[in-house]
Amino acid sequence: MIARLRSAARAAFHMERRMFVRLVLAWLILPAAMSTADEPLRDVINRELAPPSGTSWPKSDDAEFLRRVSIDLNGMPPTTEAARAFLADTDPAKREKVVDQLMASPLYARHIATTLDVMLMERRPATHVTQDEWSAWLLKSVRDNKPWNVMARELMTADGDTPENRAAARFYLDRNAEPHVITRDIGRVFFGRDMQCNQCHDSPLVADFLQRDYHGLLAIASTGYAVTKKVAEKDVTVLAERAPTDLTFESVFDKGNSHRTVARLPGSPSLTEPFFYPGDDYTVAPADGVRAQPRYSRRAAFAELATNGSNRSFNENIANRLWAMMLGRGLVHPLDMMHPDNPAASPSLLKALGDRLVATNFDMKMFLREVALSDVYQRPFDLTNAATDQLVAAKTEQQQIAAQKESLEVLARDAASTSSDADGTFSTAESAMLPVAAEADIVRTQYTDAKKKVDEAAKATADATAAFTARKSFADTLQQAAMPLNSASMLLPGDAQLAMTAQQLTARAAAVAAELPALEKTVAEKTAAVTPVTEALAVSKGTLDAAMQKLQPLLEAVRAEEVKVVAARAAMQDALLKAASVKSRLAALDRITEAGDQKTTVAVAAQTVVSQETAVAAATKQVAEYMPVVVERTTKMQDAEKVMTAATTALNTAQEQVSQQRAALSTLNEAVAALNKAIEALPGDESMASGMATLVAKTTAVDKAMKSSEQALVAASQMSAAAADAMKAAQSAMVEANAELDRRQKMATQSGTDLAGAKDAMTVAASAYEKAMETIPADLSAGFALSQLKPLSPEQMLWSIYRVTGVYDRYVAGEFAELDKAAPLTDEQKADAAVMAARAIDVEQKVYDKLKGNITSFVQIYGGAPGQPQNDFYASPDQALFTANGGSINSWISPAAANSTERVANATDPKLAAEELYLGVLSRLPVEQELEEVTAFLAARPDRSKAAQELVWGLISSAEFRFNK
Amino acid sequence: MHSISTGDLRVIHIFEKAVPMTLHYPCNTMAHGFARRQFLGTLAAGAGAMVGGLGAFTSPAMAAHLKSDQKRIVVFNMHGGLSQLESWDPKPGTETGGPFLAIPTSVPGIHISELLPLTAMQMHHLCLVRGVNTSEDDHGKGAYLMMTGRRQTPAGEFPQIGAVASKTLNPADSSLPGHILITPGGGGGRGNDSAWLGPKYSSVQLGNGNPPPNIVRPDGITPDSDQARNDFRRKVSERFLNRRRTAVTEAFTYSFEQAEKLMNQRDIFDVTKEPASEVERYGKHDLGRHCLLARRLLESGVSFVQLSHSNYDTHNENFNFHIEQLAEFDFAFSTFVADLAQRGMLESTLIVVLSEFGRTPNVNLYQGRDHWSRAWSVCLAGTRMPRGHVFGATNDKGTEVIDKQVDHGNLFHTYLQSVGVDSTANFNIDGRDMPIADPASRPIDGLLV
Repeated sequence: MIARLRSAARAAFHMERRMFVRLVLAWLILPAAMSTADEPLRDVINRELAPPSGTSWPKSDDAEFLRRVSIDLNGMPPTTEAARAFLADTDPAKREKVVDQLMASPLYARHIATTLDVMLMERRPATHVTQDEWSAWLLKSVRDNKPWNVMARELMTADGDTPENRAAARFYLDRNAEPHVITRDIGRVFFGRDMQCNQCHDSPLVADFLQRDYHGLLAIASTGYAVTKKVAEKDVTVLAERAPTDLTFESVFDKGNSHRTVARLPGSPSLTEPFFYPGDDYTVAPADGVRAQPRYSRRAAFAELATNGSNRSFNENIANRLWAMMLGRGLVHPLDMMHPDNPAASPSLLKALGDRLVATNFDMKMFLREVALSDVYQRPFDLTNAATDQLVAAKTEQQQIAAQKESLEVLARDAASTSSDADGTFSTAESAMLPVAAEADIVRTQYTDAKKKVDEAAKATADATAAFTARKSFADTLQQAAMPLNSASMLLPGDAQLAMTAQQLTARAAAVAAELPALEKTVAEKTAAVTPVTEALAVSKGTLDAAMQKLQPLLEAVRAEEVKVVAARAAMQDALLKAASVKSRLAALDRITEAGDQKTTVAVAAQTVVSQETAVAAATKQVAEYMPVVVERTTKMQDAEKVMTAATTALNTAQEQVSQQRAALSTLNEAVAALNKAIEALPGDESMASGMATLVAKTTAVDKAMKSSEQALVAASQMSAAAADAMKAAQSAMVEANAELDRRQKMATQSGTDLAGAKDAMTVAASAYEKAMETIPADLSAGFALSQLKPLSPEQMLWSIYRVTGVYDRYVAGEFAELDKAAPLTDEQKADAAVMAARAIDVEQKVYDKLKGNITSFVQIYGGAPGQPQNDFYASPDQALFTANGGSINSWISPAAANSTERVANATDPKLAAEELYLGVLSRLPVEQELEEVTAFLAARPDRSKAAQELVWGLISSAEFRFNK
Repeated sequence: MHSISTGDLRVIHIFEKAVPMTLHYPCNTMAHGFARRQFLGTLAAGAGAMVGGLGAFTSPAMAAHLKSDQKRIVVFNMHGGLSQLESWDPKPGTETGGPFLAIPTSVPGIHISELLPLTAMQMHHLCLVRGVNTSEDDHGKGAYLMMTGRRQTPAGEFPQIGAVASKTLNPADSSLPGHILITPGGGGGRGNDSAWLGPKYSSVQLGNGNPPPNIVRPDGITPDSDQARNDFRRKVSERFLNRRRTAVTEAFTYSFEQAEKLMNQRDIFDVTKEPASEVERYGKHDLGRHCLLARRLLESGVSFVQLSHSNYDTHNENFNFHIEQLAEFDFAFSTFVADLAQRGMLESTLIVVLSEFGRTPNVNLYQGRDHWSRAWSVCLAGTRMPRGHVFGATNDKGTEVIDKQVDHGNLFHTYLQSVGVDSTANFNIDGRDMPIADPASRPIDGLLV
């Protein structure tokens, strides 16, 4: 079931992959389209590290590019003239042109040789090989564009015993051929793997760094050892080599569980090595002051295997290191931590680069040229707005990658389990082999002893024979001398002295002759003694052969398993690498897209602020517009109120009148009734009758008046009602208007609040974006979408300062002048490019020799300690003090022979001064603000020469100078 | 204050005056005994002045920073191999003991060599570790393991204690170098002693106590001019860094600020700024000046200062050499300890007196002692160290450690623990975990308080 799921996942993955191949421009990882050997390498680079789909990425400007590539290829920025010419050049191919010019300069070989020197020796002191010999070898190698694998092979195999390979022996000799140092540094420098921890155990931190890899290398490194021999009365240290042996080792975490290895290089199975009987394994046997040479050189075999293009670590290591020389950071970083947990920014690119190096016979010059001409190399160092606008586009890529992550992880787990199975089988085979190998070791020792005894017996026989022969020949000589003396003595019997001498001589001859049988016996004894030990040796040889025969199939079995282990491990590394690479790329993309989202949020928030501002303006306008209506209706209301008041007053007056009249009428009616009663009581009373008439007339009049008043009251009442209606209408109109105003005012207030809120949201979003952006340039430059800020190396720092202060070119001019005087060139020679190139090289060497004295102090100030990694940047106050108060820089910036200081001092126009200053020191033209700054500076500092020095110093000590951007 | 008996004082004062004399005598002769007795007798009257002297320190006003939490380490490197028998672990009256007596100290029951009479008075501040066994009799290797806490391996270097102290103790914003070596000779510059910690933590070497190079503005550049060019530099840098800012550029910018501060603080490297009386108190010899300089540096906040006193490699005339050498040391060191105690700096400063090894109990034909790493002593004082204490012991003849044996690894861990550094943790260097101290070793049990 699981297997089916996996295979389904795999199938899905492959489908997706096919779809993505065209789609995904990888900054990436993806095992994308295979590069063909004739595709320009720069195109491969551009494709593999393309910005996310749908985006386009800006290029660095001309000045930025020129300074960058000059420092990277020649170790110093361009001259003022070169910078000016380049900026003015309108040729679209000018970047390619300048790269070729730089690579044709003698400074190219110098700079690359210096970089290789630091990479290979890490500023160790030159003790056994002089720095000059070493530099000359490096220089010549770079000038001849010697393939890297050839250089590496020379470094790995040189014994230092011939002038030709003396320099290359420095790699071993100036590490005193210390096996562990050599092992560590071969691992780091040639394979990109710092396996220092693996001397004692598999790395707990890096799963891929194994103790057996370390010891496989150690088995190679430990065959070389330093020997001091006399050459023409002088001590010369050379590298001798031991006959190879197997190494056994055990982990400190797993004591008692022993392992055994022959020579092996990372990522390859063990070397298959020939067998020699002990004592028969050297062409020159080890001895004091003798450079031993084994019949089989493990170092040579290793060097061949490492450098023949078949070892992926070797190929990718140099690709990564050359890449880092140009880009300031390896595709894998740190450079000596190449393992799946630390994936390359693009593993597929790294593989393509390694393959291309193999295909081009490790042509470093081609490689560097292609890198320099790639878009990736030419990217800007800062994040422009044009670029940040595109961040959100990374989402497409993010989704694509996220989709692959899981299937890649499944594949990685599969591969890891296959690899682990292979490890298990290997261990079983190894366990079977170990005791037999141990037996074989014992037998081998016995054989060595037996061989030693035979050699001793043979030597004893030879010695005895020699002794006998010498004595015999002496006895014969005595005998022969005694004979004529005896004859003479007989002839001259009276000569007592002669007789005595003859006698003595004869006696001596007899005595010596008497010694001979004993000596002869010794010879016989010694000769006899040879036989048993020879027989013993034959037996021992049989035993050894038997042991080796027994061991051989076991070794072969182990090796067969090892081949499987290596293959499984390579597959696992590949799978892990892809998974890890996708994972880390995804993490970066998450940050990048998040920043993109933040940027969108900021844009949206900004939009909201703008629309809120419009809303506030509109609402305010509406309030203002409505105000006259409110005013008008209020006035109307007031008028209606007045009318109403008048009507009410009139009504009241009319009511009053009617009431009074009603009261009067009522009183009159009562009076009439009373008078009528009186008249009834006193009828006919005239006065009463006339009174009655008057009274009635009055009552009638009052009644009439009242009727009239009542009519007036009705009218007033009607008027009042009308006024009340009018007022009510006016009031409601006013209330309505107020309500409307209130609504509009509320709207205005609300939009004000909304604006404030939008502004707050904008601030929050902006600060979130800013925070997200903090890591983005680093993420982008880790993926090479932005170029690195590359601190100048100590040497680049020195030569750059020499260049911008005019010191360097002054020396060059001087040397040319001197040569032209001492060895003038004919016109024909001047037309000969080879002659001119040779002269340029000659001059460069002479200038270098005259100026190199300061390298030591710059290395001391800016470099790492000898034998430590040299590419870590650090900044310390003693560097700043050296820049500020040290004698060197302060004297070099003095005005001299048309250097920048003098040009600035002599410029009539401050704008020209600024141009000379910026072009001369930073290889670019000043921007407006900088022109103003320089103008103000010069105005404030009347001593022109001093001011010019201050300005030049200011630029040299600035961050822009310290870093190659 | 611990009370000090008059008897002790007498011994001390007398010997102080005896110092300038070089004594030539065979071991254990009457002449030696006589000389000693004579010294004891003649100068007893000076004792009072000594007490007065103790109370008459210059006012420690500048020790204001003592309240801060910053810890410091000062190492006295007794170059060549100090004899433990003539210093911290005397064995008088034994066949290996040599001619000198052991004298009582300010701590009842603890005796040290009579060659350290003034130091004996400061014993109540000191802690003697007498059971050191480092099993390494080679100068270079011995020095290496004492300085790094690890045995030298062919395949890798380790950072020295000063580099570790600088990394762990020096405040990030400090303008002062965190790792200073006051070397006996001239010269100067940067040492090669920080291994994988990187050059940032390498020692700044003050050759014979001279200030670091380039700390003074050259005559040709006026302050005004310097100001102008630095203002310009800042503007240019700032404009550039607005386009791209990284940790690396920050460090670069900061290095100029540090340099500027350092120039303004350059007086701390100048012992002539000390009153003449101070110079007098420390002794006018190099070591005296160096000790005074060390005090100035520590007071100013430098995290680590190492002094060297040379040369104790006494294969010949061990006893005469130790008389001369230790007289200088005793004078300067005792003043140094007393000053630090007086200024409250012992609470935050660790003092270590070490060598690459000790010297043989056996006296050779030339009245010398050879290299001996199996049983020797280190003197410690200060933060978290027990005061007036002896830790560990050697046997009667000083040939073996018989109690609480420690080695360089234990000591290295302990130095760091005492200043609050977890020595069992790792540094993360470039993504790699590097153990701060030897992970196979551990701090000394039961020493720190």
